[in-house]
Amino acid sequence: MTAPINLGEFEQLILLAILRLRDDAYGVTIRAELANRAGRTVAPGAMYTALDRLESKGLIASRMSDPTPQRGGRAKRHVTVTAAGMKALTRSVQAYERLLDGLNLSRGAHA
Amino acid sequence: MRDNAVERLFSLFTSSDRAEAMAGDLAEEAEQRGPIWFWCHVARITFVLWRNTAMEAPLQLLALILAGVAVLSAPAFAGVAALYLVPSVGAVSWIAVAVIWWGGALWTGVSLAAIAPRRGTVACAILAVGGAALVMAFGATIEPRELATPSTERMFFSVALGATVALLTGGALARGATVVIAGPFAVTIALAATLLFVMAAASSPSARQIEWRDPSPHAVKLVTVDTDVQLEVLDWGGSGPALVLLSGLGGTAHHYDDVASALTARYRVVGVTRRGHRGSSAATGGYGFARLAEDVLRVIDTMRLNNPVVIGHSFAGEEMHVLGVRHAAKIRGLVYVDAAFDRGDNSDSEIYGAVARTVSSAPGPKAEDLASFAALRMYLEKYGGAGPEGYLRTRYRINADGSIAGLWVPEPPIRQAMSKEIQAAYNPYNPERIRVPAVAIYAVPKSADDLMRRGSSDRLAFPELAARAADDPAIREGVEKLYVLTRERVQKHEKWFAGFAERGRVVELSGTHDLIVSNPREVLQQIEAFVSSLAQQP
Repeated sequence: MTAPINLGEFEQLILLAILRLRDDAYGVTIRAELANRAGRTVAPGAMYTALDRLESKGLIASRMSDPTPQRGGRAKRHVTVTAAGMKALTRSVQAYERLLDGLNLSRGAHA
Repeated sequence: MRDNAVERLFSLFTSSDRAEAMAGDLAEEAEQRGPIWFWCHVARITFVLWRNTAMEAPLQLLALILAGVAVLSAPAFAGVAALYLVPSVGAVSWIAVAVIWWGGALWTGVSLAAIAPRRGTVACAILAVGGAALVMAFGATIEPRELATPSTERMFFSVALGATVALLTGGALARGATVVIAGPFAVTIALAATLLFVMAAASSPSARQIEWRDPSPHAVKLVTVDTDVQLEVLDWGGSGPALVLLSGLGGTAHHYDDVASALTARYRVVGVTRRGHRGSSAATGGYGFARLAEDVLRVIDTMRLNNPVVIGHSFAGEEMHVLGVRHAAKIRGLVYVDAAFDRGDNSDSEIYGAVARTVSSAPGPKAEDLASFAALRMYLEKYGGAGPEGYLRTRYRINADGSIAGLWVPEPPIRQAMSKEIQAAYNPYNPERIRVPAVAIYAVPKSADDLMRRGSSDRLAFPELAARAADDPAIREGVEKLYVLTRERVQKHEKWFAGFAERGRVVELSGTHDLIVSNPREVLQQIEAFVSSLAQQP
């Protein structure tokens, strides 16, 4: 089998944001989600680069929506997390949880 | 409109779907964030996309940049070649220039399309503009006039040729599939460009002018004859009796560039340029006849010439007089080419001058005669002869544009020293009689008609005057009078020479003072006859 894919922190954030947005994940909403939930302002250019990389690794899939009258009739590029993406994300999150176990970092941060 | 342009821009570097989505995203968000934010991110995304493309495919990027250089340089190269191949301006040449120029551009376009990477020909073109800007910036640093110099031409040709070949090979590398197409293309264009370059170099009049090379087969040597004085010595080689060739005042050894080649079959031939003259050291003194003769002797010694015959034109007579007396043991004989004059006797100058002023002489060169060497040559040929180009190039100063600035003269202090010392040497004029065998050739007309058509020691040839004299008896009469005086004048010098050179002989040739140029064949015959007469003597 192929070697497991390790995700970078930024990639994890993007995958999580896509999951949260469900059917409405595309450029604008992903950036808004990252800003609102993670407090991260991401430049569009950097995000598109990351999306392209994730797609080329097979962790997300994209499809063009039907054109709508909004945004000058331009279609959106909707993205969804693939099974491989879910697996990689799960692995990363589990690794985090195991490492965080017993550290009580989040409680300490809020104290 | 705005979003369409942005979408098109993005699509140069990524798929059209992605470009559409990105442009849509930016437009959507710009409604809240405003146009400054919009354009900032258009720029940033463009840069990121471009960088990603470059990192994914560096060879493609290289090919694109090379393509950019080629897009401008190939048609420009073709244009320069066209201007050289079709230098005259006329309807046909304009069409030819257009065909070659735009043919080059068309060819580049076709090649670009053939080798354009997958991301699109338009991206190629955008980068091409960058390449073009680079070439233009390079071009802008060159003054238009300087573009005509051989070094910039060569540089321009090499840059253009290199870029064209690199474009094709770079493209071939970037897309393996096109090797089959690009390979022969590259070879063909390289061959064609080389051919064009060679043809242009050979056919361009200006290139010929700038890159003129002395065709006379001589080695140029510098021989030290005095403290800080080196003379230019032209060594034509050859075997047989040695000949040393001297030019007149203001002249150089290149005077003999053509004649010398005809002599090397039978003689060892060396020419010397006098001190203070172009090619030799600008000495501040030493222009007395004895010192000048000493200079020639040093050259004879240094070049290991065995008992040479010394042949000199005009002023060189003064050096030869000294050589023939003080260094007679080292000299086999002397050939005076309109060079043996009794300079101390001016008794006829008043009456000769009075008549000469009534007879019009050949006109001086006009501005158009000085436009180029070719024009100057045509002018000189009309009035007696031009001589070897190598000689003209030492006699005249040339402007950067190839026109003639005027006669070359030494710097003022050198000129003053020269004329002061020479005048002193002439006054009084009392050369010792020579004892070596000698021949004195005089430029003397055999008829009044000869005087007009072929010139004399004092006058250039002036064929137009012969036509005028035929119609106007007054002109004819003046010429006849001048002819009689000219003959008397030469006869006086010939008589003087007979007493001066006890083993001397006199020859008359109908030509101008510069017999080397006006009568080269007859001078050659006289040299050969003289040298063979020496062989028969004990």
